[in-house]
Amino acid sequence: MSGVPDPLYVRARCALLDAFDALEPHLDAIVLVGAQAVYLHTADTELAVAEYTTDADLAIAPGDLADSPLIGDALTSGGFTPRAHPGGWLSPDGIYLDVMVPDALAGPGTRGARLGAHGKRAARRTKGLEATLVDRERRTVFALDPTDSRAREIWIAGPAALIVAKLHKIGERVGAQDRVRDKDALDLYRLLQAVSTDQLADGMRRLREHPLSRDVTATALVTLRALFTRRDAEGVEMTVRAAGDPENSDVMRASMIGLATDLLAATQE
Amino acid sequence: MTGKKRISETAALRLAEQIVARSLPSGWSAKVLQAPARSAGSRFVFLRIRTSDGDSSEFGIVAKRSLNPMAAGQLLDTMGVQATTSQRGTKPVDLAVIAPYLSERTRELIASRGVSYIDSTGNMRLQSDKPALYILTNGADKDPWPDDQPLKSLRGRGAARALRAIVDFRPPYGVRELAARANVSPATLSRVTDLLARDALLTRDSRGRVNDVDWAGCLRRWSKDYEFATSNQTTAFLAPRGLSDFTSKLATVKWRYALTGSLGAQSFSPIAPARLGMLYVDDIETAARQLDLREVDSGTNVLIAEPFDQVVFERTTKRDGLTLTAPTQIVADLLTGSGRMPAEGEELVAWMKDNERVWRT
Repeated sequence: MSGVPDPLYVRARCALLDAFDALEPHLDAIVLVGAQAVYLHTADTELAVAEYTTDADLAIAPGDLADSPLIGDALTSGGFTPRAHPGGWLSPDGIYLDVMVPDALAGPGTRGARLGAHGKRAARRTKGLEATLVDRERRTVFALDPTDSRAREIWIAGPAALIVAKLHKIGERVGAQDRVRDKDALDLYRLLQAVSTDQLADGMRRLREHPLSRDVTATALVTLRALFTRRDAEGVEMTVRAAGDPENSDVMRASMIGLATDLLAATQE
Repeated sequence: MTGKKRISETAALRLAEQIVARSLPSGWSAKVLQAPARSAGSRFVFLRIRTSDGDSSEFGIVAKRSLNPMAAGQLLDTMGVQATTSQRGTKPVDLAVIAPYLSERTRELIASRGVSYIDSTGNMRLQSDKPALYILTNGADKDPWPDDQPLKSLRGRGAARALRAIVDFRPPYGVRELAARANVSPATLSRVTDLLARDALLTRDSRGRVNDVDWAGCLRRWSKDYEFATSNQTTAFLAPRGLSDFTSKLATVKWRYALTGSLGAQSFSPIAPARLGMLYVDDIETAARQLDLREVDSGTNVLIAEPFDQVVFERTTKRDGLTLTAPTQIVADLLTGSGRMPAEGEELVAWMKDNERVWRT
């Protein structure tokens, strides 16, 4: 989208940089995921929805994480306050920060990830994020507020990994009629539109070859076929609902189906 | 049909007599009679209808070899005067227009004034109060002698090409001069100029040079006969990555094209983001392949057209790396489009009125 970014998005980016400042010693173990990562890949995609997100989402690679400083302590001294559920934090400016660990690396348990010295409340376990530790790239992330000169080179999840992660979120909530999850379908649409099918298919192939991401990727592609390749499929409906643009819904449906079908065909061995 | 000559007024009168006679109840008769009129040198023609009871009714007749709507209006104005001056006794004379062919529009116009008409193809409306008589029959809805007629429509590529020249170039200009500049047939240009003059959309000086053109009116007039979707060979496609991706791909192609519709208009005047891409190309198949367009059952966002004439590739502009067809063409394409496109066409017209220097040659 052209023009000035949504003020909320400016604040969310600021909160993200606050989190990087606080977690600086651990930056190599952190991958930016979620909507802010999606928008870094899709800056030019046209959609009649403002590009905004209120969350800053981070994935942790436990194997690369040092024992100190403790994530909880670092975030607290950076002005973040813990929310009720594990991995949930609130920035000084009131933006949600979610710190997550891929389910396959999160140890036993159901909600909090077991992160050794860091405890089980610093991060939440999340399925699908395995892919973001395999398909990722270095990017410099800048503040969007013109008075803020901060910039950080960080890991951000690659587009194929983000698609896998989004499909897991969407798949878990099928039938929920949940506006928040609808937005995940719209993010998926943005990624499919903005990134070439060849590039996505390459990413998917790498993810399927890697032991950490093989299973979640296979599951994600099954979800893609089930929810996004027919006009009446639920994922297609979620996308159209999230866009809130009835005049354009036929084009969105056809585009979503076309792009999802292309990707599935291109990932077939 | 070619070369068939339009019949004369006299022949039309004779045919009218037969057409009326055939439509009357048995025992009735119809006869065209002529009598010297009051003004010297002219004759008064009338049609007398006699009933089986011996009652009779007379229609004052005006016979014409051809009659377009504009001429019909003028004629009826004059006949209104005649009707009062040629009264016989106290009864006003019913009036009828007779001609070889009367178009639907002409017939409507005549009927709206309460006047009867008969053409040689069988279009007839005959009405009188005494004896009570009302006959309405249909004949041809197309002129069997069209060559004799001035141009009536801007349909067809020659007329469209001529119209584009008339609106794109700044008057004054002579027909021959403009024909040479715009590579148009002088004969077609002359006929289109006549049509637009009849519709009061342009004016000419005493030597026939065009000195003023209501270009916006001309474009609206053209949009009655022209339509983007049907005048051109069009196919609808889906550009699944959206219109901005479509235009960035377009900016890199090597073949000839011209962008029109909302995407073209938004380069000139700000409008809401385009929903439909409209593009002229020489070959739809090549364009679809190279721009990654899909044929889908529903949900199309791009219309690709092989144009009615090469003129869409002439007088183009380059903006933001894209070739745009002339704004006059964009207006016509938008005015004949769906949804909010006609409104966008009018917005572009407003911009063009303020920026004539920018776009007019």
